[in-house]
Amino acid sequence: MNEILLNINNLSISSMPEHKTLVGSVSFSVRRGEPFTLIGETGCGKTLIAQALTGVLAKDLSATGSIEFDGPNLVGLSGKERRKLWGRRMFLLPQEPRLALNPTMRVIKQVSEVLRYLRGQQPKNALKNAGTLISDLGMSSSRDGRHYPFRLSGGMNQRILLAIALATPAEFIVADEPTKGLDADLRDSAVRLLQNLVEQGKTLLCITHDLAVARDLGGNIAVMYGGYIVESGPAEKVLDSPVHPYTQGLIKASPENGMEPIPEHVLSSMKTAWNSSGSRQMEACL
Amino acid sequence: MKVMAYIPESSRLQVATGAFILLSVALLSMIGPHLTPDPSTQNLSSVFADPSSEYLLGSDHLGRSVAARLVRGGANSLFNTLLCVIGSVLIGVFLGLFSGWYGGFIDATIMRLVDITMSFPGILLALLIAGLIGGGQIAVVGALTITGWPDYCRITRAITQNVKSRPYVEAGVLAGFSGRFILRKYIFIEILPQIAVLATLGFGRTILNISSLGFLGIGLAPPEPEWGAMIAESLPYLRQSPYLVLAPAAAVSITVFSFLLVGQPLARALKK
Repeated sequence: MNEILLNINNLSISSMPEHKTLVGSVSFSVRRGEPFTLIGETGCGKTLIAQALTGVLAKDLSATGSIEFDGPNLVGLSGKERRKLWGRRMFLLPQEPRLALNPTMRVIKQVSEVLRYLRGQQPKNALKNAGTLISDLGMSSSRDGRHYPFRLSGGMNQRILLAIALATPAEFIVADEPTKGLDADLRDSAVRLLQNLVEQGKTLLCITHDLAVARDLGGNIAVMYGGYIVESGPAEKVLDSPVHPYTQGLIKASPENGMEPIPEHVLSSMKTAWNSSGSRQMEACL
Repeated sequence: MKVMAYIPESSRLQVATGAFILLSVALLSMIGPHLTPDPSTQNLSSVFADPSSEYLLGSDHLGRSVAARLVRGGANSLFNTLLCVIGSVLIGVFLGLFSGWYGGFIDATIMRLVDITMSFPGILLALLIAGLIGGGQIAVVGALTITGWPDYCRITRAITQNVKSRPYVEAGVLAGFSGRFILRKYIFIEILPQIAVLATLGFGRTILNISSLGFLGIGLAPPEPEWGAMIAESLPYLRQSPYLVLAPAAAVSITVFSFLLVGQPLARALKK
């Protein structure tokens, strides 16, 4: 078995008619069974990478380069072939737990449905297994499972989504901003749930702007800015002894380190460096 | 009653009355034909008889029992209406789901089809179709089904498009569910109540249309009774025996009215 599950090579994403580069030649690889965190501020292109990976890029964006997922290249794959991967090989953990669950169905049913549909389990078994998954995540399958999503709290709904992620046969989970809108307490429990996914043998690509999440998850991280990866490596190394001035600035800018703004000269020097190399970056960041 | 919870208190009595009348009409149409004499038997020695124990509502110009013809006609009209509504709903929902879900060329084609069908007044198109393939049950039901489906199709498409863009449907697609599975489990359930209400109102309209076609002579072949046809047959004797016209006319009015009684508050409740 190949140790590297996902290998992204020179991935660029640009908007179609204007040919404006939004993500410029990003390369990184994710090892099987390990978490990988993409970190960066809003608008740096991290979500675009997740979208290119799962194949839900907006129609007017185009990706070039290669995304090798367990061998074959995903860039330019047809919709039909993509659908074979969804849920079966990779799973995108949705951002908003409450909106991502079907409001017309009891949550245990939604978990069991995945087991039935994607794993071909019999209805009775699927319901039983769904109950096990839910109770493994610290909820009562007989009480909470019988509720509709609106009856559960955001954190509980997120656990249901994780139960669904665990129910799918997918080995690769993409979590886009899993801690968005959660307070510190819930964030910690969300991170623990993500660690749980990794412990169950899933490979995790986590996309976040929260340094604490990256630190707690461990594994490798890549720091992005303006559509480029500025620094990458093991989480502890990058976060404890950052080399790139932007990463240093980002760490100082986090609330626990005094929220010091990233120095203007760091940003402008990156800008000139990129401009002289002939590439164009995202306007949102610069 | 779970349904009643959705209806505002002020219109519950209205809905209950409508439902009661409808149930009675349906029951009469189902049981009536077994209790009354054969509706086609003529007795030329007792034409235009007054209501009596033998002829509950009197007899018509051929000495046939009006009561028997009324219940049998009701059974025919209601059954044909049911066929029309079921047909229209099936076609409309099916095409609407396709149209809303797949979009693009399929959507454009189906919507143009809807436009074309809706640009004709329903009854006119029905007349044309019935005129082309001749009268009879198949012609009437077919014609009204063909003119009836666009409403259901449009509402189904609108809801499908709306639900399709909700995050949980997108999440479902990304979780690997097929389009057919999502249409069945996620979208159909949202369409059902709207369609049910629309069909209730459509029922009334279709009865009216079927009666109109019957009145114009494009319905079931005589002597099989039908409300619209009964009115047409008895019209020449309106002065002499007005109840011959009034009985079927009242039956049509009451039935259509009760469908409105039930349907309108439901439609209003759904709009909120």
